[in-house]
Amino acid sequence: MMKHLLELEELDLEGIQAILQLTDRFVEVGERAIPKVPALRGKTVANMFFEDSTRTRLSFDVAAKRLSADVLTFSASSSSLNKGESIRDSVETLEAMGINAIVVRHSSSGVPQQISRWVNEGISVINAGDGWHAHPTQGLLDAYTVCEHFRGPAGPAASLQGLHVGLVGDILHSRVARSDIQAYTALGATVTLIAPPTLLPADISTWPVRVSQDLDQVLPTLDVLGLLRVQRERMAEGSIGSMREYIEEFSLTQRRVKLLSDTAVITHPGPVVRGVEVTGSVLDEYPRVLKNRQVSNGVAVRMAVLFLLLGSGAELV
Amino acid sequence: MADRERRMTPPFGGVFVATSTILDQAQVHRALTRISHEIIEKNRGLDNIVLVALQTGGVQVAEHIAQLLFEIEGVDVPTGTIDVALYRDDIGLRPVMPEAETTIPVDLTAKTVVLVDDVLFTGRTIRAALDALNDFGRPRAVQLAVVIDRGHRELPIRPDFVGKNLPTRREEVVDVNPEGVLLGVMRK
Amino acid sequence: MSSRLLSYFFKGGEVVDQSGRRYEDVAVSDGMIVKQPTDDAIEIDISGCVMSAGLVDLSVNFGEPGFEDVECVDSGSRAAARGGFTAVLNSSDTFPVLDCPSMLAEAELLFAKSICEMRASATITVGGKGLSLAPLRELSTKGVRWFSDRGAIENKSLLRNAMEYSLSGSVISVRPRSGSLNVNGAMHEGKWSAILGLPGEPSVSETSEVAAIIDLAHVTGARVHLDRISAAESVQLLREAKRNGVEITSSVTIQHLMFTDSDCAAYDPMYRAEPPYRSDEDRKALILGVEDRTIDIVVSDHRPATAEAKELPFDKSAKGAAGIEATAALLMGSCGLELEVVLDALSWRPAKVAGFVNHGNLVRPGNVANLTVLNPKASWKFQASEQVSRGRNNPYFEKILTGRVIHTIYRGELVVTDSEVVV
Repeated sequence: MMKHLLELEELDLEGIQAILQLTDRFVEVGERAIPKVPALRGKTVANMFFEDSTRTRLSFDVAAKRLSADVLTFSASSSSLNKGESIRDSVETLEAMGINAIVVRHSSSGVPQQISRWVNEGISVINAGDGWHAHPTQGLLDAYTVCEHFRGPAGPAASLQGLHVGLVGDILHSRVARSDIQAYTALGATVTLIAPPTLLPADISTWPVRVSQDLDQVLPTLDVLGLLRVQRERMAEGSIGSMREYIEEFSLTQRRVKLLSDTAVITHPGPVVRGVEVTGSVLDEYPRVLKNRQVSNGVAVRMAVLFLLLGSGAELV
Repeated sequence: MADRERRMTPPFGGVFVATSTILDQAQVHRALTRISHEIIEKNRGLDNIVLVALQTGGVQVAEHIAQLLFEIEGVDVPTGTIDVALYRDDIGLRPVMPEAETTIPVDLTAKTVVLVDDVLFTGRTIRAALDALNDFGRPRAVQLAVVIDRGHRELPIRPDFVGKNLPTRREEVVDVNPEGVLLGVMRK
Repeated sequence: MSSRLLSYFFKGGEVVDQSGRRYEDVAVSDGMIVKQPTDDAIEIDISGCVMSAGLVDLSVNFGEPGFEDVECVDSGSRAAARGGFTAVLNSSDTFPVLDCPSMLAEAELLFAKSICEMRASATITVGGKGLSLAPLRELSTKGVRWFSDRGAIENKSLLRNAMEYSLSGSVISVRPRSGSLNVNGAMHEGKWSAILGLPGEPSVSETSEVAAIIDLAHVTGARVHLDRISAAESVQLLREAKRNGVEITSSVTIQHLMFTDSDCAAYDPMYRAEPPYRSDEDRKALILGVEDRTIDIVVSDHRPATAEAKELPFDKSAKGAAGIEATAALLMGSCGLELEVVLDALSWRPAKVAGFVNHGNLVRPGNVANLTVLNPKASWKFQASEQVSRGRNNPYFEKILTGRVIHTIYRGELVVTDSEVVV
């Protein structure tokens, strides 16, 4: 039985499709007058967020509560970590209080994996974002939202076959990009990465993606344009030249948005840095931006994951 | 046959092997016709009646009853479906997945809901359904129609409308399908 | 230690030294190898085993002074002895670092507890900070032969000065690593760092420095040593340099012959090291380099760490492994190397290069009895509970190894018998 959700590589196509099918059910629950089910009553979910994140934490919070689970929030800044207690000690303290799952976000890659090796049998670890490595629930909710838009409810055999997804921005430092690539390609979509060479990982020759530096050329061929954040620090580091240069080549400007086909959609994991990856007015005016739908589906996807790991007793291949 | 029935009967899972036929297709039709008349009679007409079928075993039964109600009274009774997987009290004890749709087309407040299922066994599924219904409004009343009542109740639940009472042993399985009702066992 | 040493007569073993292999019994008395066994010599049967000069490790960190919570001279030297080593060179990055004669004096006092010969190495720069020269000449006159900052020396002018300033006979050991091409890498930059989302340290940060240091060595004529190389291109650069007659030596750690970047896949900090474990091509090139003697020396680079330090997130955890007890076994049994190559890399050359005159010599009467008895074919499981070192960061725990140290003789005293420390 699947114990943890650490990265999407661990799931095969059937596993991803099962989660997406389950998400359909939880989207429906979210639309009810009382969007709550007793499925995880009596279970406790601990949110261990070592890195600040309001949106993801709230999303997991709501998801757990809609399943009637209890939630413990452990945030690093106010914790004993500052007094020198190790992560392992903190995990053991939580275990002693009686929990069923730990949702972890950390700025260092691999921490959820390490925690999964320390917890007792029966406690599930869910990766809510580790360093540059993975953000599996984001990948799932992005794929679900795209599927919902183009194909309708996921059903038992969700597929993105025939769709072309473009991911633009700082791929190297983006765990969202890595998980998106996993989810989209597993479901059959074609993925192209568009970024300056210094913002791509060193060796991606074995990745199932295409790479381009010519955004103008790729845009008309896309069904989905996935915008990723680019932080100003990259300029200070010497990874990119001036901001103006980056915007010239890689930003979704008023001029560029006209190159998109009239069925193409735009996704963004949030929060948007207006003026860098996209011109603010473009995002406001474009008719097919899935950002908000991503957020509401995010709750349903996380409910599906929590239910699968803590409640269903099902085998997840 | 209902996944539920299979899951609730030892040896949990396996292949259904029939040992006898309880009702043939014609007999099922007659039983459902009688039930439809009973529903109309008990509720003095079909005002404010909503049929809610339990996934997956009650769906075809409810469609059949809705069709019969239309033939008898000329009324199109609103019909919904409900998957109670998320409300079960044995979550985590055995595989439970909400695989089927829940669609309730109307607000249930002040309505009389007739829950429809194929087989009534321990009563736990119906208890879960009652919980679930509460999340869709506050019905004025809830009634229960089943094709077969096979006994072995574990909760104080009783049906209002029954096709046939069938005493069974715990390890036997009842399969209700469009061709009729079969009694059998599960073989691994 | 007793006031009078016991005498021994090792019978039935095969002696392997620089002059070749032969079946010969070896007698030890009063700290020396002697022609005939004394009457009260204890006979020890070593049939099936090899008698060799004791092993010499040029890179260990036994924790004192400064890191006593992790290891100390006592536990460290016992671990070394169990690993077949009769001499070790302690790393200069103690706390405080060893960069002046007073620190040297303190170190030598601490080393008295050791059950193998222990020498200090000093830093090249003050505090190991790479800014100004330490008193290299004075330290030399006080007996230090080996100078090494554990980290990189960015200032090439300073490095060149160190090479020219040091007394003849000193070895300037440099870790070839660019200070600016690293970007805080936590592992090798390549296919795996891309998958794992960890900052990577590219091979070029080492190879660019190797080329520069070889040039400086050539120009200054100093005795230069490249400390712990990790990339295939470094081996190639060394091969060419040696062919061109440049006198330069180098070492590789046993871990770099065993592990690659794919071992980091599960984010186990046990596999975080400096330099990082690189690709399998690099690993194979390093083994070939040891085999054809392009790389002169293999070290354990024994760096103990506490369990907590290895339980931090991967990119923040302590680096290195505490593997001195398994080093000889691994080189004998897991690298496909001839025994002569193994002994050359672990004993004969390190002794010569670092000036351990009583070690790594021919096994013949008249020489000091620093010896190791090895069984190259023995199969054994490295039990964590039997480990002598206090370091918890040993990637070889519970592994089955081929090749085992059976006895270690230090200055004529049997310090390890049947693979256990007995003093």
